[in-house]
Order: sequence, then structure tokens, then C-alpha cells
Amino acid sequence: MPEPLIEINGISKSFKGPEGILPTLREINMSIEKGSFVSIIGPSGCGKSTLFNIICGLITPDTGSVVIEGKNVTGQRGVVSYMPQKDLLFPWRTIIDNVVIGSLIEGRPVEESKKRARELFGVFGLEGFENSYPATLSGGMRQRAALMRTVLCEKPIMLLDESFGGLDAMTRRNMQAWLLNIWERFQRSVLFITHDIEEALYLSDKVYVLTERPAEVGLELVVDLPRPRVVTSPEFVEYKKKLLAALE
Amino acid sequence: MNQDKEKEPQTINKPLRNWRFRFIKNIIMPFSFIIVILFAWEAYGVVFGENRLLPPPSRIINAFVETRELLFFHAKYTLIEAAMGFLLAFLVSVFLALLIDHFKLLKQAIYPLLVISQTVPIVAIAPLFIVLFGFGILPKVIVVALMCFFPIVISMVEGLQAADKDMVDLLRVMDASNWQIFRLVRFPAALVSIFSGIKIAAAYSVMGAVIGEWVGARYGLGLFMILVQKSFRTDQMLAAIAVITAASLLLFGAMELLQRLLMPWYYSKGDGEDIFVDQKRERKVVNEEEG
Ligand SMILES: Nc1ncnc2c1ncn2[C@@H]1O[C@H](COP(=O)(O)OP(=O)(O)OP(=O)(O)O)[C@@H](O)[C@H]1O
Ligand SMILES: [Mg+2]
Repeated sequence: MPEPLIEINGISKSFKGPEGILPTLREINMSIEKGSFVSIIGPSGCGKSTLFNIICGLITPDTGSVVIEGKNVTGQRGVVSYMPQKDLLFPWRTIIDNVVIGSLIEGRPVEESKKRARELFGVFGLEGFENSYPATLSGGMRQRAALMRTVLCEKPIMLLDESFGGLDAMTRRNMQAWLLNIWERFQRSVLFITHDIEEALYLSDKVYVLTERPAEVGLELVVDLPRPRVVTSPEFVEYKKKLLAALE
Repeated sequence: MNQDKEKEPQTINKPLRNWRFRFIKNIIMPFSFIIVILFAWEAYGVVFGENRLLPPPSRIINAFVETRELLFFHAKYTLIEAAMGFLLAFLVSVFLALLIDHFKLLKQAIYPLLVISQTVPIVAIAPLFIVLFGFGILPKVIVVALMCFFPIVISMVEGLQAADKDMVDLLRVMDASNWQIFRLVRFPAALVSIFSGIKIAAAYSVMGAVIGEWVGARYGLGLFMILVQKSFRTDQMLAAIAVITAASLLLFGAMELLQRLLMPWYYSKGDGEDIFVDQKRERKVVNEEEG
């Protein structure tokens, strides 16, 4: 039994909206094992990004705690690496300068990081674009660059918020397969937000379903299927039905 | 990655085409339009007889050639005043902008003053500077600085506040310091805005120097214009105006060049975005054909 890397214990959060208090998260409990791929799926606006913002320390929860490797890190920054919904590459930095931003911030030697990063440009399908500016890249390439930046932050867990949401179906398929490669290669734990049931099942060891706001964990589903998964196989379809039922 | 290939930007042919297009759009078009106007003006003089109040371009060119040495002599002073005033305005602006940006409350206190300072008619207070600082270069530099600092401060303050909040948050998650956030996101994000302010100021600066000279000077194009105005030499007056325009364009162009040097990413964007839009359009066409 692999040890839990992250534990989310009883996280609740309400926002003050124009029409009074807006309860958003209610008593969320999750645990993510080391090296596993866990997805969060839920209706739009239920509070998925809010949960991520809490985990990465941007906002503090009303109650509950985030525990990573046994340490309480609630509200602490610089503990996880985070890839937001938008790629947020800095337009004024070349791709290579963008992807090493993590080591720049932490004061690690940047030249060394760049050397390491250069070797990875092939893996991320960005060969030859080291010195290009983000605006000259296609959507898929920008997402891969953003993911590379996230990987190079060298944190034990990566939070990916709807990373493929803006991509067309074809590119998305490729990116999913390729993300699994990256995940296996770098041995990081991944917490992945998506709207797409099939995507969640194709990628994850475990799927959490959140309910409408105020969000609670509606279902915790361990996906026990060998990879690479075939989305048309009867077992896969069986899992899909379970998720659909939970989202009703 | 192979299936991804057709999605990658095609950079082979487009830059060339874009470059030709931009040359026609940015160089040929404006110049040909100006030349057409000048010819029409000249033709008017030929057909209806010359007008003393509005001499044709050929007369102005003549006046320019005749007085070129005097013009350049005075222009040198005006340019120096403009450049120094502009520089002073820039330094003051950086200081004010950083102050306002750092102490948010100060913004409420200083902003109204900045705006009010711009409503004071400079021509009216310029003589005051002569009284205070004499006939030398200093009062002109101050007039230029007064005219130039406003667009620069405003563009800096608003540029610094316009940084994408999500980009700032991205760095916060990495536990970046405020200084790192300033250096890596807020300042570069503000550059586009800052340069618009700087270019406006650069274009104003020569005119500011001329206004400063108008109310009292020993040298400068402002003085030159007062002298020729008194002898009704409109052709020489217009020649001086042409020099002022050229000097303003020169400073403006220098700032444009500086921007291109400091912000290569901003200018590489043009091609990139075109390609991106084209791609989306192509993709959409494909989708429509399919369904
Ligand atoms: N800082 C905030 N202040 C007030 N309300 C907020 C704030 N952040 C989020 N909310 C509200 O909380 C709710 C959840 O937002 P959140 O972005 O977490 O949803 P989401 O599940 O990520 O949605 P999506 O799937 O569209 O990305 C929304 O109704 C939003 O308006
Ligand atoms: Mg979201």
C-alpha cells in the first residue's frame, strides 16, 4: 500500500459574494498516494479551482488542513507546482526562459536548469523552439511548454487545472497519451482537474467527483484498469456509467 | 508527436509575405499620401498665383536652403533643451510612478495634483520661469519636462497595475518575493504602456522647447520664428516648422527604435498572431466541412 503524499482534511471555504455568503467547498476530504494520478471532476463553478488555490497556498480555507508528506502546509506557498487553466507563459520571455522560471525564483543556478531543460525539449515536442517567444507557438505547444515549466519546478506534486480545456479534440487526445508518458517518466504525483469524464478515466488511478456548489465529495472511484486504456472496452464503459450516475 | 505536425505554425512563407505587406502599408502608403498633398499644394500656387500667407512647398524648400545654417544653429539648442527636458521628465516620472505604485494611498493624494498640473496653461507660466531662472537653457528644460512627465507617469502607473493577476499568482505559488514579481511580471507587462507614454512625450518635447523659447530666449527655433514672423517671412517660418516636425519625428523614431530593441517579443508577436488566427480559421473551415 503506497503511503499518502497529500491529505486534504475537512476543507471548507465560503466566499463573500454580492448576495451574501457563498458556501463553495464543504468538508472536502481527499488523499493522493505517492506517484499516483488523481483526477477531480465536477460541474462548472463548483469550486475545483478554489480547491487548487487552497492547496497551493493562494487562499486560506475556513476550516481544514492540507498535509503533505506528514507536514501541515495549509496556506504555505512554494510546496506544490501548479499549472493554471491558462498557460500563462510570459510573452516577454523565450520558451527556454519561461520553463526555468521556477529555479530562477528559488535561486537555483539558472544555467544548469537551462541545460537540463534543453535536453527535455524533444520529450515535450518543442525541439527548435527554445528561443521562440510564446506568441509564435500553437495552442498545444504552449500547453506543453507550460507543463514543462511545471515539471521543472521539481515539486513532488503537480496540480493541473483543466490543462487541455482549450484544445481541439485531436490535439487533446495526443496530449493525454503524452501526459501519461511524462507522468511515468518523471514519477510525480498529479492532481488533475477536468470536465471530461473520459479524460479522467483514461488518465487516472483515482477519480473524485464533486457535487454542485457547495461542493462535497460525491464519489471516490478507484480506477483499476491496466494502461494504456481502451475507451471502448466494456470495463471502461462500466466505469463511465458509474461516473455519469454520480454526476447526475 | 507526428499527428501533431499539421498543427504546428508554418513559419516558412508567411514572414516574407507579411514583411512585403507591412512595407507597403507602413512606408509606401503614408509617404505617397504626403507627396500627393504637397503636389496639390504646389499646383494650387501655379494655377491661382502665389499666396504670401501660404507659400508653396518649392518656396519653403528654397527658404530652408537659404537659411539652413541659421536653422541648424538654432535647432541644435532646441534639440538639446528638448532632450534634456525629456530626460528630466523621465527621471521624475520613474520616481513618482514607483512611489505611487508602492504606496497605494499616495495615488489618491498625488493623482489629482498631476492632473491639475496639466490644466495650467504652460504659455502663461513660462515667463515666470524666465524671471526665476533667467534666459538660459534651464527654464526651457523645465517647460519641456512639465509637458512630458504627465503621459509618462500615467502610462507607468497604469501599466504597472495592468499586469495579469493570474501571472502574478503563478509566481506567488512559487513563493516569489515582491521584487521578483515586479521584475519578472509587472515591469515587463507595463513596458507596452510605458512606451506609449514615452513616445507621446517624445513627440511633444520639441514643441515644449519651442514654447519655452517663445517667451524669451537667446537661441533656439522659437526665437528664430519670432524674428522671421516680425519680418513676415512666412516661407522661413514654415521652413522652421518643418525642422521642428523633423526633430519631433526624429525623437519619436528614436523611442520607437529603443522599444524594438528592448521588446523584441512584442514585435515578433505580429507574425505569430497572424499565424495563430489563420490556423484557427483553417481549423474552423475543416470542422465546418466535416459537419
Ligand atoms: N475570490 C473569490 N471571491 C468570491 N467568489 C469566488 C472567488 N473565487 C471563486 N469564487 C466563486 O466560487 C465558485 C467556484 O469557483 P471556481 O473557480 O473554484 O470553480 P471551478 O469549479 O473551477 O469552475 P470551472 O469549472 O468553471 O473552472 C464560483 O461561483 C466563483 O464565482
Ligand atoms: Mg476552474
